[in-house]
Amino acid sequence: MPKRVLITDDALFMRVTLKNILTKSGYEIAGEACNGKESVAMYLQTKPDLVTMDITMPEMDGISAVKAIKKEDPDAKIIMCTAMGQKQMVVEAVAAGAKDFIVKPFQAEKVLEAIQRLIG
Amino acid sequence: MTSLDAGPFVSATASVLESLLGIRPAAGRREARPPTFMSQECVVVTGITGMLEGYAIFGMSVVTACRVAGAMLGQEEATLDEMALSALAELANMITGNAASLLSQRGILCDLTPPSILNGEDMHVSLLTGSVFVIPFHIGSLGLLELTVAIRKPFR
Repeated sequence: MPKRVLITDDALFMRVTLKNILTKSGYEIAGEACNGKESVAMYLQTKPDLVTMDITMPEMDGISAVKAIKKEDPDAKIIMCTAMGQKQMVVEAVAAGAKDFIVKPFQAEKVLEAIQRLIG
Repeated sequence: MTSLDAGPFVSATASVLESLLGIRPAAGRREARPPTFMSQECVVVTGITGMLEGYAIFGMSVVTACRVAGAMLGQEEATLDEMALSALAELANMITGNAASLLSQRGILCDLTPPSILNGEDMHVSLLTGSVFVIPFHIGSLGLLELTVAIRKPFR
C-alpha cells in the first residue's frame, strides 16, 4: 500500500509542485492544506504517514500546527518545507517536534530523500 | 536603511532566481528611490517584521511576469491565472525568506508576512518608511525584475 502524505502550504504553486514530486515517486496524497489550522484538522481526519509543513501561512503558522499535531499524535512525522531557513526557526521547529527541515527553493531529490528516510 | 542591510536581499534574489529559473541574473546598480514611486505593472509585496520592518517589493512588466511564472511552471509563457500568480508570490516568499536567513547570520532576526500581488497600469506606491533602494535584475531573455527594499529599525 502506498504511503500517504499530507501537504501543507498556502501557495497553490508549492502544493502542486510537491504533489507532482510525491506522486511520481509512488506516494499517495492524503490531502492538501492551505494553512496550519486546516493541516491539523486534515491530519486528524486522514491520519497520513507524513506531513510536509510550510511555516509562514495565514490563520495558523506551521510551528503552531506542528505543536498541535504532536499534542494529538506524539508519533506524527512532520517535515518543515519553508523559505525561512534561520537557525532559530530550525531550532524552534525541531523543538516543536519536526523531524527534518528543508529550505525552499529545494531540489526534488532532497525532499524525497528526507521522506524516504522517515517512512520509506 | 544602510547599504549593509540591502546586501542580503541582493544575494538572495540572485541565488533564488538562479536556482529556480536556471538563469544567473545580472544585478544592476543600487539606487535610492523616493518613498512614492510609479510601480511596474505587476508587483509582488512581502512584508518584513521583527528587528527590521518594511517591505521587499518585486516589480516587473506583465510580459516578464508571464515569462517568469512560465519558467517556474515549465511552460514557455504563462497566463496570469491563479497558478501563475501563486508561483510569483512563492518566488517573492523564497527570496525574502532567504534574505531573512542571511540577515539572521548577522544577528538580525526577522519574520515575513505572506506575499500580496498587485496588477495594473499607472500604479503609485507610497511607502511610509525612511529610505528606499531599488536594484534592477536583468534575467536573460525573461526581462527585468526590479527589487525595491524599504526597511528600517522599528520604533519601540
